[in-house]
This record gives sequence, structure tokens and C-alpha cells, in this order.
Amino acid sequence: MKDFTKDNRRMPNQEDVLTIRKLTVRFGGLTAVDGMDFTIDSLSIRGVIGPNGAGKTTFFNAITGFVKPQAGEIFFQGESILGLPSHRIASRGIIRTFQNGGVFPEMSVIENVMSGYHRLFTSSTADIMVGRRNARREETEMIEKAMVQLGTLGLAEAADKLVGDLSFGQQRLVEVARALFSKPKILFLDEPGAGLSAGEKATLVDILRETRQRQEQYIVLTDHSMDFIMNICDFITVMNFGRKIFEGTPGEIQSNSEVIDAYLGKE
Amino acid sequence: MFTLASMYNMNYGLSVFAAIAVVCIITAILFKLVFEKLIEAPHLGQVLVTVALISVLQGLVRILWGSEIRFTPPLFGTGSITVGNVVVANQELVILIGVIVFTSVFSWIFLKTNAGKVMRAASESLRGASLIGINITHFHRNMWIIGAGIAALAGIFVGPLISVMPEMGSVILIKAFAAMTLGGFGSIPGAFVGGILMGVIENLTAFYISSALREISAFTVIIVILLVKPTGIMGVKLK
Amino acid sequence: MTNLVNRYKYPMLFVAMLFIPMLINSYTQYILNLVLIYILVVLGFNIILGYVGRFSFANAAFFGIGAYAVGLSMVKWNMPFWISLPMASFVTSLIAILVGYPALRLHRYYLVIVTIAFMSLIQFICIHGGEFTYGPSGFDIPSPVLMGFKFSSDKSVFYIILTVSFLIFYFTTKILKSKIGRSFVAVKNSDLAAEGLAIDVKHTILFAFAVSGFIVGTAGGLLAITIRRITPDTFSMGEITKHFVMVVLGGLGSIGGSIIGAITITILPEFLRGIQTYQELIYGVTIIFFVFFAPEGIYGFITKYLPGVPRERLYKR
Repeated sequence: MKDFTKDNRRMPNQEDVLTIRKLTVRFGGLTAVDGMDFTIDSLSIRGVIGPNGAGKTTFFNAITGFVKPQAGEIFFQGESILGLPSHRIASRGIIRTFQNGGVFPEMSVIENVMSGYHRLFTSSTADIMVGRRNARREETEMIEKAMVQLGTLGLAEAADKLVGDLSFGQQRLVEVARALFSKPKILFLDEPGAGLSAGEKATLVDILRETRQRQEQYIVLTDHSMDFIMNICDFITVMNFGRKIFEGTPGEIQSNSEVIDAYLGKE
Repeated sequence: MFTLASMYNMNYGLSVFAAIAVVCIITAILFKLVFEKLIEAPHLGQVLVTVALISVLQGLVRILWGSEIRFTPPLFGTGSITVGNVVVANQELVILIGVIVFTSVFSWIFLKTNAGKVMRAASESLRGASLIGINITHFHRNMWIIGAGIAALAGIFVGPLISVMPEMGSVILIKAFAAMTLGGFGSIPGAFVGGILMGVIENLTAFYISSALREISAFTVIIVILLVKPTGIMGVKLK
Repeated sequence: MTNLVNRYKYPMLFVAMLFIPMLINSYTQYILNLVLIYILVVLGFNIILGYVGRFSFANAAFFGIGAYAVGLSMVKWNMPFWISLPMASFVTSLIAILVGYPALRLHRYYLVIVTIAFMSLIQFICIHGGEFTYGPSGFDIPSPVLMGFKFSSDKSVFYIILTVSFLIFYFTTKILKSKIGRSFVAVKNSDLAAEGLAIDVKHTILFAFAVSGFIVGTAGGLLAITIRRITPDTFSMGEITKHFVMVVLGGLGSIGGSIIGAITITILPEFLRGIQTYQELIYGVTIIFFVFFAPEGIYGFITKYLPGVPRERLYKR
């Protein structure tokens, strides 16, 4: 396990999981993301912060294929994923959640979580239609795993509840559970804490900590709450005007707080 | 918002203005009952109710006036005038003049009066319009009534030319859709342009290709335009 | 014991229904045939409208295409029924995929218009097809012949319809209660979120159209041998309105709803004799009523308000 309090600012190389160089996204005359460099090379939870309009969501969109960048490179496990459609990128293991909540309101909690497993199924459509044994087994096993997943997140009781009936905060937790169920290699969480009550936020922190403990995936998240970010992230990237203006551990961010304040204002 | 050509069918024997008035009153009632709720309803509900209304109105007409085809007498008799090589039936002349007069009057209202300003404002932004004090519900209701009235007028004009029966609305509906698609949704001049173009296309098709195929021009136009340029010639993008 | 019943409930129901023709008269049999056919029609419609949530009016078109495909191939090319039915299913499925392409891009209201135009276009072709499509009064279909046996009565035809509809129903249920069914609803609820979970939205929608077309086309083929006379009326607004009533009344997006809707609307005219003129009015009012007061349909209403009945699941418990 890498010691992630050490300095992570080194030259990107082939072993890195995600390497982004000079990523640029323009909408008409507006440059939303301007030459961003970003690297993930160690198991950690990373934060991306910046004021509103700094380009964080666009940055996430560009990486996950929802927006096409005008320039730059994105390498995931050594392969370029620039320009790939979003479902292709997702099938490779880069999963994201949405700022405004991307749950499926007409499905139950467990059905939402089950949707996360979509990319992990190996049985084909034909297998499913004729009810071949492998397809049936996969589905049954998946259902069990989903129930377990819900249990660990304290959502087991709500398994059959319609997600549309839940509060916004609960919906977002379901969305995170769903994303985790897809066994992502990198998980991008776009403002996961927004709209959550204090209790729900605590649950979220627990979930994230537990995920880091298991060391199965990288997590990148963005949020407006400095407390939340400082609390949970091991390494933070600061964005403004579409550019990276600082990067460091929470400690380093704090000791550079004058710089931060100058750009961001006090939180 | 989705505007369907109304399914109002003209009846035999009522005078023109009374007929239009009746249609407008019915629309106002329908608005209070049905349309008002539609504004906030989910999209599928809106579509379903509008489609269902076609059935309801057609059904009502069928019950009240029977299913047979009727004939309305042309408005100024069956004579015709001849201009150069072209013979124009009186009814067609009435339609021509009527449409030109009507469109001019309506355009004038739309562009030069306060009422027209309200229409233009609301079509740009409903929220903005309500912020300046325009009652959106009333606006919707009035638009529906006007639209229905125009459709009624169209029905009166066209009645003597084609068979009058409960289904006549459905027949015209497709052509109206074609004209709207061609001209572009949400644009009044587009409606005018689309209508004329559609008429021309249909008759050219009948003449050059085959008279049996004239109806098909409407469907083809719709399909082609929507696949190539859904906003039509002068249309506004739908949300 | 209950486990055994549960596992084999479909085959048991099938066997039980084999005895029905002995218990009822010919006319009731005819109605039952129609019920089974319309269950398939509504099921197919529900896949596009209820599961994937696309506003396609093309269902009646698929229905009619299936009927015409079977009818024409039997009458013109003397194709035996057991070949022409699958052929019709595949043809309708392919055409449905074609209709699916605009559904990918077009705004929902535009799709409504395009599909209405498509339906009218097909209707027009059938009315004016002259030699090829027998025109507005339609044509007659001979009885299907399988292995020398001629299925000339409603009762005999029932066995064909029963078998085919059970097969289709079985496979459809398998599809809907799996990751495929879940991907349908996912696309309906949020195509962005679906993409983010590696669901290929384009494939999903096209597949939904393909499946729906297959089912409804098959239903059309079965209609051909039930009604024995095919007319372009299958492509009318009246027909698609009937489909809408069934879907809305039964319940969008559920298999149970499809069954309820199909049964109710097919049987209803039998009880309300002599009100042909009122039919379209009743259909229209019913749709409006349900949209405003019970948008989830009868089935949805039952699952929502009756404590014992759970929502229909997108997975097999």
C-alpha cells in the first residue's frame, strides 16, 4: 500500500491508472476546462474542489465521455479513452454519479442497485432469453450480492421501496450504492454530499472510508463542503477557471490557505 | 406545447358564426375540465389525452349527427369564375379570399397589437410572461379557444369541398401535421408557408406522379422532414 | 408442494387451457382467441411505451404488417402457415428496428407525428396497393394446414394461438425480468445515468423495438387466421386508440397490466351490445379518466393500494 501522505507530484508514467494531460473543453466561446493535467497513481480518495463554475463537473463529464474535449489526452490503464462513447468508458470501469442525482425513480432500491451490475454480466442476451443455466445462475448470484450490498449500507429494509418515493438524500445514497455495485476501477462522485442530511452525510463518509479500506478502487469526488473534503480526501486538486491551480494533501492545502482563500474565498 | 389540429367538425345547417361560437364555447368548457390539468401533467399523459379527445369529439359528433356522410352547400352557390385558363369554383374563391384576409388580420393582431405582444412574449418564455403579470392559465385557455376557432373556420371552408363526416378531422389532421412540420412548429408565418407549400406539393404530386398518390405526399413530407430537419423551415426548437 | 406448483405454473396453466375448447361454445372461443392475441399486442406495445418510454404510435402498424405478411404470403405464394408466421414476425421486427432509429434522436412529440405518419403511410399502401394488397375491402385467408390437418374452426385455431402465445409470453417474461428489462426502464428514467452504467442506450432502444415488433407482428399473424379477413382498418387511428385504452387501463409498464387491459377491452364490447356508435367516445373518455385519476392503470392501482400484492419486479425473486 502506497503511503499517500508523500508527495504525489511526480511525472506521470505508464503504471498510472489514469493520466490526463492538457485536457481542454470549450463550449462556443467559453473555455470550461483549460489544459488540465491530472493523474491517479495511488489508491486514495481524491478531491477536486473549486468555486462554482470552476469546471469540475465539465471535467468529470469529459473524462467519463459525456462531453467531447477539444484537446488533450486521457489515458486509462495505458489506453486512450478520449472520444469513446460514455457507455464504453463505463464498461471499462470508470463509473460516475451525477450532481442532480441519476437514480431511476421508477425502480425499487434493489433494482437500482442491480442496474449497477450491468457491465459485469457475462451471459449474453440469447442466454437470458432461453433461460440457460449460466444466465440464471448469474442473475441469482447477483440478486444475493445486491441484498448483501444493501445490508452493508443499511438499506436492506428499503429494498423494495420505489426510489422515487425516497428523499433526495436517500436517493443519492442509493446512487452511490449502485455505483459501488458495479465494481468500478475509478469512481467519480459529483457532489455526493449535496442535499444530504447530516446523518446521511455520516453514512456516506462511512461508506467511502470502508471502500478505501478495502482498496479496491480509486475514488475522485467533488463537493462544496470543505469539511467534507478535508475529512475524507487524501489528496486534493484545486481548480479555478478550468485550470488546476494547486494540488496537495489536506495538510498542504490548509497551510497554503491564504492562497486558497485568495481564489476561493472563505468556506 | 404540442398543438393538435382540432377535430371539430362542421354540422349541416348551422350558420357560420354560430358554429364558430359554439366551438369556442365548447373549447372553453373543455379547457376548464381537461386542458388546464394537462399543463402540469406528464408528457405521455398530455399526448394520450389529446389523442383521446379526438375519439371523444368524433364519438360525440357521431352520436349527435350520425355516421353518414353529409353534404354542406357551398357558401356562395355552385357557380364559378374563370380567370384566363383557370376555372375557380366559387367556394374555392371564398376560401382563397378568406384565408388571405384572415391571415392578414391575424398577423396584424400578432404584430401590432398588445394582445399580439402578449402572444409573442409568452411563446418566448412562459415564466417571463407570468412575471410581467400575464395570467398564464388564461393565456393557455385563450390560445386554445383561438386555435379551435380557426380550426372551426377551416372546417367550414373545407366542408363543401370534401365529405362531411365524423372522421373528417382525422383525414385533415395528417395534412395539418405535414403543413406544420414543413413550416416549422411554433411559428405562425411557418404555418402559413407550410400550408401553402403543402398544397402545392400535394397537387404537384397528383399531377406529375399520379393522382392516386396525392395523399401519400403528406406522409412522405412528414417523414422526410422530421428525419432531416425536424424544426422545419421556420420552426422553433422544442424543449 | 407450493414450490413445485410455482416452478411449473406455466406448463400447468397451458395444460389446463388445453381443455377449454370442450367447455365453451364457438363464439366464446373466438373471443378468447382475440383475448390471447391482444395480450400479445399490448405486451409488445408496453415494451416500447411502458418500459422504454418512447411515444411510438406504430404499434397498430406492426400489428397490421404482421397480419398482411402472413395473409399475403399464404394467399399469393401458398406459403404454409408454419413458415409464414415466423417470417412475418421477423419482417415486422426488422421494420420495427427501422422505426426505432428515428426514436433514438427525435424529440418525443416529433416521434408521435412520425409514427402516426408511418401508420397512415402503411395504411395508404395497403388501400391503394391494388393487385398487391387487395385494396380497402381486404381479403380472405385460408385455414392454416399443418401436417395434413386443416385448422378450420375457432376451436382448432385456438390450439395454434395458445401454443404460440404461451411461447412468446414465456420468452418475453424472461427478457423483461432480467438485466435487459432493467436496462429498458433505466433508459426510460435517465438515459444519461444508464450510459454511465455501461448500458448502450442505442442498442437497448433498438432491441426494444425489435422485440416489440416481433411480438406484435406475431400477434398480427395470429389475427389473420382468427378473423380470416384482413383489411386496412388495422392501421386506423381507431385501432391504435384501442391499443392505448388497453395499455392505459391495464397499466403501463407491467406484464400484469397488459393482460388486464387486453382482457377487459376485448370482452367489454360483448357485454355492451348495440353501442357501436358509443365505442370511440367510451374509449376516449376512459383514456382521459385513467390518465387523470389512475395513471398507473388497474394493475398499478392494485399493486399500489392493496397491501398483499407487490409491484411487478424486474427480476425473478
